[in-house]
Amino acid sequence: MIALTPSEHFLANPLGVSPTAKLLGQQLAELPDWEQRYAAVIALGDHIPPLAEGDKIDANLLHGCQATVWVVHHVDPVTGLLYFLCDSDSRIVRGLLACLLCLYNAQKPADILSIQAKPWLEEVGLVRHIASTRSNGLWAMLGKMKAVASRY
Amino acid sequence: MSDVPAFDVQAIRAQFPLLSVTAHDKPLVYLDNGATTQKPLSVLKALDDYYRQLNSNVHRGAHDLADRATRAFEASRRKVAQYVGAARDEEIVWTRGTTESINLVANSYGRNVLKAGDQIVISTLEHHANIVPWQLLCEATGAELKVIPVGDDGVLDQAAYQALLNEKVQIVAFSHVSNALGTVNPVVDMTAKAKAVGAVVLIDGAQSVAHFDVDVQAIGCDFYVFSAHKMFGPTGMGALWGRYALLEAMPPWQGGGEMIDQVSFEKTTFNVPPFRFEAGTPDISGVIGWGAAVDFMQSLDKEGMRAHEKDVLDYALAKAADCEGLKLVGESPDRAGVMSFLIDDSHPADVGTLLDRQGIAVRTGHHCTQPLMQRFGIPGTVRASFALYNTRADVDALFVGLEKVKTFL
Repeated sequence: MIALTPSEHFLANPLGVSPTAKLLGQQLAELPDWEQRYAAVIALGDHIPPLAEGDKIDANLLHGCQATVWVVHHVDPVTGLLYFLCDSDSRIVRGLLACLLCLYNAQKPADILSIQAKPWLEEVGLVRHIASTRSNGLWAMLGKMKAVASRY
Repeated sequence: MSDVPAFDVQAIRAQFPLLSVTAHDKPLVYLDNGATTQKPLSVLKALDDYYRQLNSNVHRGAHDLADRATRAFEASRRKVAQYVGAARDEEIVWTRGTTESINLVANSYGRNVLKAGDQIVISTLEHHANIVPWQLLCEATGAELKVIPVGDDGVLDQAAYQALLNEKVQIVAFSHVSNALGTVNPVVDMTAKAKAVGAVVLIDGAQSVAHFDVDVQAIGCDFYVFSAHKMFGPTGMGALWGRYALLEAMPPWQGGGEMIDQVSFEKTTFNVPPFRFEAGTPDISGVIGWGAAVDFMQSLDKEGMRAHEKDVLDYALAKAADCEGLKLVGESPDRAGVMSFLIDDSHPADVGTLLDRQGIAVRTGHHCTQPLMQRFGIPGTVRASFALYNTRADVDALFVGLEKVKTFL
């Protein structure tokens, strides 16, 4: 399915470039307590460019989490890089998804398939510090991104 | 009674070891009693004593230990029967919980009695456990499901209910107390209306039995279903109370040991209720633990308990009225144990997650009442649910926690 969200929105998504996954990991690791970690994750979610309203449809829904999550993607015809955008009615989930975008957005499909999320998420402390039930959205999003990447 | 000590919440709390644990390194504030209640020492001891001193299969053994286990098991049946005002002990059928009790009635009574064109009436407030078994029954029999609407305040529309009732209605099923909103339904009046058209009435008492005395005779219903774990007893244990004449006319649902009279390959005859419905070895320790939970409840100054619970809930509702951005979901004047709410347009799961980090346990989501949430056009609520051991201090902790949540969302 072709996303209605303009391709500029995908290309303008800074996550993965700024911050990179590595930098985000360092920033989160330095935060002294859960409050600041949550605040940082939630704030990161605000950096995801908005989805077109027309993309907030059942076909783009991500199943398996308590919150509503929409995911769309775009392949740049010139570079072949794969871009993702997502949104959620939960600010915490949107922040967690933004963390994943730092790892996987604007990457080659082959790299998306080879980059392992779990060691990074554990290292960054996201799995440990975020209530386990809330990480469901993370795993569902991860599966979705890998599935999309495998098609290119 | 003069020998019952006045209700003292701190003395009660001291009997619940779990209330002293921490969550995320903070003292636990447990406000998820609608999901399950904690267990007093007497129940823990009864479970331990059973396996140390009494473990034996009931109604089967030809030895002293089995006789003693059976006596303890049946003594619990008497306690539970008296707790809800059953006419006789044999009107209590052990099940795995409220859900199984409803499924038993739907599958045994329902399939035996219903035919195409008949109607079942339930309410918008119902838990999925009091919806889905009736939908399955409708699919199997060709009966039709009708639903009592609920107002914006979370109160059932009694005029609409009356209008739904006619001679085609065979079964009316509704909750005593709504698990999602805390609304207490006028069960006596609703039962009388259903009986006037000849319907059989089942009441889901899962959320009522921890809060007030239930008297099935005064209500006038036919079936009353409830769970042990929501009234300080063990999990995985529940009961169906049914009028004996109805139980007697009902065919078995599950087949197995204990439920039979004589078995041959040509024909099997069945035991009398309640044993007809208790196939297989029951949860003996669960039954005995539940008996201890009933003893615990019966030992309390009930008037004092009710006054205390009302005080805590009223205190919470008063604080809610002063809490900026908090919107109550469900504003029934008659409510028990539950305060459901939203904070501005925040997702309830986010509110719950951030409360959890502060050691405050609430439930978020649709509370297994998706049709009710659809009625209100919301994905779910944050539900603080109270039990007799909660205090004004718990409420204060909740609202301090909510102020912090607001700084994030």
